[in-house]
Amino acid sequence: MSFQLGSSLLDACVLAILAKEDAYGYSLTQQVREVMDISESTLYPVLRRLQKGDYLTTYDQPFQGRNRRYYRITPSGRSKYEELLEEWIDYKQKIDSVLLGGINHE
Amino acid sequence: MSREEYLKVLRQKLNKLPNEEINAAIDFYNEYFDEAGEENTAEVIAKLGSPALVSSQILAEYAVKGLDNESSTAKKGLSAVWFIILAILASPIALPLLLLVVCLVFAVVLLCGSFLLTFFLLNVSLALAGIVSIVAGFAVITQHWQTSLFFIGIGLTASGIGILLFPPLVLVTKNISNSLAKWLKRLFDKITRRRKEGM
Repeated sequence: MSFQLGSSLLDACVLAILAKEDAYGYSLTQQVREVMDISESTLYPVLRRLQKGDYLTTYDQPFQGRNRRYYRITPSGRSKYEELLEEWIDYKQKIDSVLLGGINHE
Repeated sequence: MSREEYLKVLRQKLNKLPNEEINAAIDFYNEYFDEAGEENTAEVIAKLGSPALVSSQILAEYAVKGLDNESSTAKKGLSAVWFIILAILASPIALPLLLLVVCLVFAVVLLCGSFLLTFFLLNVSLALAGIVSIVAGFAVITQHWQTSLFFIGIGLTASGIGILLFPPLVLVTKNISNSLAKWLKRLFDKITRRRKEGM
């Protein structure tokens, strides 16, 4: 992929996935990797930062005799997500208006 | 490398962090290996990258967290700069690029450092010179009170300016170290992402 992905976009993706449903580290990483070309080790620091910023909380659930740590979005995480989403839509429209403008005038 | 070795090396590389942070990271990756399944250990290690890469990403992220808060201080900013330099040194990038980055970072840190040091010394020397001048003024008070008054006046002015300049110094230090830390983080992200694209 030739477009650089900023960390805000990564935050937005994580928050969006968790806004839909709680997820544990591994599945969350795989879900983000389906849409973004990041290395598998990129996600943990992001999750930790969002957790420290009170956007996410964690809880443990036993699974096959071991622990699964689930991430859940907090109310302030939700408002952060909405804020980022709004910014993204605005940004996307601006880029679209330039990029798509070239098609009709060939 | 086995999973145990991998996590052990990772733990060692993170030892500059508080215990709580180290344990959280180890727990996360321990679970990560569990989820991927025992038979996929080698594949997980290949996808995660070396413990050096994983630890440097954690260190860099740890360093910049909280810099945007109201409560951020000059001290936090400076320690963030230090942590990111450690992260860059720990990241497994090619030697020529590493040398270039180290020189660049060194130059910028030195530039900011010498600016702040100059400001600081100006401050301290103003205050000190003021005190000396006040003392000198008192020393001659019995011989020539006009001279004495002059020296005491100069001394109070100098120390006053020194003290007045102190809060701006703290503020400037905080801002410079915060922006330096953020700039280093962006540089770091760029290096580690570039590396990934190359793979």
